[in-house]
Amino acid sequence: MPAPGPFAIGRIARDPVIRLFTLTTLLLVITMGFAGFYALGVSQRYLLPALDRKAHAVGEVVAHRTAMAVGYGIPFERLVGMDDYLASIISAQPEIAYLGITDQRGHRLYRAGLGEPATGTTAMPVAVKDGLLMWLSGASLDFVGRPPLHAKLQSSYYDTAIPLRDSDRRDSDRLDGILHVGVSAGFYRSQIAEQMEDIGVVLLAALLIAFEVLLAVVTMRVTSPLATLKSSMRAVADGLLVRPPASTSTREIAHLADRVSALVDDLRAAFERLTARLEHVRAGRPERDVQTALTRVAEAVRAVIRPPADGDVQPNVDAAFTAARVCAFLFVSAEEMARPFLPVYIRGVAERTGLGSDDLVVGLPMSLFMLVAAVSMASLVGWSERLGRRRSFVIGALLSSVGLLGTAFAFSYWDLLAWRALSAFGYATAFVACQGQVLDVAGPTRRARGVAVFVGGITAADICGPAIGGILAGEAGFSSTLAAGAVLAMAAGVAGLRALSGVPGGGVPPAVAKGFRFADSVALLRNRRFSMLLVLAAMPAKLLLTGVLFFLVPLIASEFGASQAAIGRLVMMYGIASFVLSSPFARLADRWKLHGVMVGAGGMLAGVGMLPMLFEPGLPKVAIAVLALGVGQAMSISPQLALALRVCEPQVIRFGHAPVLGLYRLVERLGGALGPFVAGGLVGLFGYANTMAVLGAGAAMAAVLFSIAFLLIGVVDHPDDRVDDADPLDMVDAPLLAGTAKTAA
Amino acid sequence: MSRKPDVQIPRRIDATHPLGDVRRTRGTGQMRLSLYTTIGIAAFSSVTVGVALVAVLTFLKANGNLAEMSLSSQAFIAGTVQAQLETGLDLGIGIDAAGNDTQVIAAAAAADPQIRLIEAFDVRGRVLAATGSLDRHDSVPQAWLQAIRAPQPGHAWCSETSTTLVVCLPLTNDFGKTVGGLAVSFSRALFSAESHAMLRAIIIGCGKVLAFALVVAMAAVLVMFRRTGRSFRHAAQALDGVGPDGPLPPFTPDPLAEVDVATDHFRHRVARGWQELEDAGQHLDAIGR
Repeated sequence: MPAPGPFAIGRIARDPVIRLFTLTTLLLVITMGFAGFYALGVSQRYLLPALDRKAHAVGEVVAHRTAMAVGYGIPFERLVGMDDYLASIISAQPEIAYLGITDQRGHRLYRAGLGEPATGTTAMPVAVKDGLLMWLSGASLDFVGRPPLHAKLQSSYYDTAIPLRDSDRRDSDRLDGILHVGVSAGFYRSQIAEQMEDIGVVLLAALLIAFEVLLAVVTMRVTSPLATLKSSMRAVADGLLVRPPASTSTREIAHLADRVSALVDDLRAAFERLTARLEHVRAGRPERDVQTALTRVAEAVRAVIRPPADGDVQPNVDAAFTAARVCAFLFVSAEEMARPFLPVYIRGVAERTGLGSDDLVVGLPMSLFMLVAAVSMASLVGWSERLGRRRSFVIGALLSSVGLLGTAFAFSYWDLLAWRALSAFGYATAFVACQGQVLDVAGPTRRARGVAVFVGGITAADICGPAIGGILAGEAGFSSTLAAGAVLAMAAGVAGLRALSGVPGGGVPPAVAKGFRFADSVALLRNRRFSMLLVLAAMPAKLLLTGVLFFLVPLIASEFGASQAAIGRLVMMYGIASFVLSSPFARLADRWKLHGVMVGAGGMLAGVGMLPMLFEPGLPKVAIAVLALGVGQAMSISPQLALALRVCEPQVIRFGHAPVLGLYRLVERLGGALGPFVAGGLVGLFGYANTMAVLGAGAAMAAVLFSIAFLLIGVVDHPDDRVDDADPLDMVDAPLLAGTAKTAA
Repeated sequence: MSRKPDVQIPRRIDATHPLGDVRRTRGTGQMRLSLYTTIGIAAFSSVTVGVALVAVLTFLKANGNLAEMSLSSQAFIAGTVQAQLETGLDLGIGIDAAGNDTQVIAAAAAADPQIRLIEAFDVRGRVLAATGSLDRHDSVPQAWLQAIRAPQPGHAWCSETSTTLVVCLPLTNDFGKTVGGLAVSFSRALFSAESHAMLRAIIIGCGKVLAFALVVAMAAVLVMFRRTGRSFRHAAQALDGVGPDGPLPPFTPDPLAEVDVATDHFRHRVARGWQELEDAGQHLDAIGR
């Protein structure tokens, strides 16, 4: 049977890894859906009695006042102002849907609440329409068992009936009437709807977490060790006596690898004994024909088996890439959990410290974080390499964790600043360690893939972190969420302890230069295209990201009354756009050489998306702005880096990639550091919504200028502008030729 | 040529049991889990994270609602007592007329067993009437005085500890002037009990869901990776007996299984290698003669 092609759907469907992901997705949807359904039922089981008690308490108070009035001699059927009194109770108690008083025969005398009943003989309002939420509410409660209540469920209302008696009468059988207190069975409908939204968001986050966990386990324990083993076996099949390297694989793979290693070791030992014997004979028999025969024997053996030379076998590096990805996912998630509420939290701390709620004050800790991270990343490269990726990552994760914990329980604005700076340093240390792990093992041919795998973890964290952080903050408070982030950062440290390389330098020569050199950066800035890219594209992009998404969006959304969970979803939209669109746009840019176009168009889209905030700002327009920012930056960020390397080709040849990338990243991050500060300053002049529009307009204008500039000067020098080094005669005659060309013109 | 193995071949580990328990590879001291256990645990862990998130978030939301509902009820009850006391103020009975206030608050405390203490105090914080099981204040805390001086319309000020919730409301006369305050301390025992019971029920329910998920995950992983695991065992068995002595043991590789194909090529090359070494040794013997 011919082997199926690599892209045959059948083969993909049969692939156990694909099936594993499918199974886990299904299992997650079913279990989380069922757990949410069950938990909803349990929560209602305890909430309904509380509601019942409230209704009863309200009813008792109304009954007591009615009895007092009747006790003063006012006829029960002529209590003036009773409707208004009942209405005032309902307006003060939103849980109560209706109040109605009937006489002994059941005729309605007084009422307040929902609509008019169908008949005049009962106090029951119109039934609430059934829908998915009502069904969920009822079905989940039925599943766990309804609690005993005073009230009776009648036509989608819980009706508590309280007898009304004259307070002075001793005759307890004599009733003046009945008070009906109604609570809607759909009272928690809006919260059920909110809960379903939250579960939906949590499901998305859980799917991403599951993806990362499975990717890590399958790659590090199965596919990567297996690929290494198969590669070793193929190398032996080609005659190279290669022993599979030690790895953290499953037992079956390890057993197979042990067998392979043993056979290779035996064969190699025998080969070496033969070689030694051959040399011994060669030394003792100098005759030419004997030497020839010995050489032929050696060549015959080497044609079948031989020890490997350096570089004969490329180790599989997927495990190292995935380890860096998982660690990056965890520690970035820890910081991103605070994203939806950090500015609001900082404002609260500033107010407590007596600094008021000035937006510059709010923006400063965020700017400080970006600045410390930017400067630290530039200077920690060499240290991380010397110390070892594992140790430096664990130190970074620990510092980040302590910083988050300190932020959670900051006494004042000033120690909050210190904790944020510490967090930033930890973040930078951990980031450099993870990135270093990738670059240590990748080599030039696999660097792009390694970085893509690593960045994938960060993008996934940009989605999960804000989603979960927003929901947690809404339910458990800001400090608890920050503390949870600290715990997650610790977990990242534990993961790094097991997953990252402990060998200083990664055991291979460094692929990037150590540190960041000022002299190189001065030379780079003389490249006008590079400078324009930095000033008109890289810096505005990050300034917009931090100023708008990190600083303004939580504050604006909070002002518009959005819950923390809703703010988390808003911030998450940026991450989703990046996750989904970055790769396709990057491929498009690479395929059609559209890097410059993507940078310009993406920058314009990101900026223009903020302009609707000028006209009747609201949450939908904030969402549009975030989406435009996400799509625009998905278009422009990856092509920016590629464009930077392209316009700096001469410098790359001269200095290597590292200084170009280092300066690019530093300027990018400085833009990020400026974002909250600039936004905070502008808010004082323009207000939140207009500031967003102003920043967007500025970014769009920068993108337009960038596009015009690169249209005029191009990405690279025109061939006519270049001196042709290959033909020395042209160099000598160049002034003469130039003069000739001018005369001709 | 007789082969003298210089290298110890590791003791063969029995990997035939699909789940197996943890085995240690010889010489490395490293604990290794089987393929099924590793992947099953990974899948189950992912599901556990998801279910735990749902459980935690649902509980937090429900607990928040329960706390709000309790506070709403208790604020309503405190508001009722406030209204009764203010009725006395409207009738010209001063707040320090001990008889009226004591009657009202005693009746309120008797009607609701969750009330632990009710205190009526003047604008200087002096408690004028109190009833309940807790010790009354001589002078109320500053926070209570601030609460009655700057009340938020429509919201009752409250403070809570692990055992008590205090609702504090101003007492105003007909002219709108605050003449004192009312503090009602409620027991949180019922709320705490309900909260714990709710958490327990959610944990137990979600635990059952996870148990189901564990069984499904392990069973599915066994089914999905059975062929892969068999392939590894098959390949390892194919390497038994490969060496300088005797022909290669029989092995039929699955052409779709890359491991089988790689193992087969590997075996043949190793066998050829031994053969070549033997031939070379014989050549050397001949040359030596």
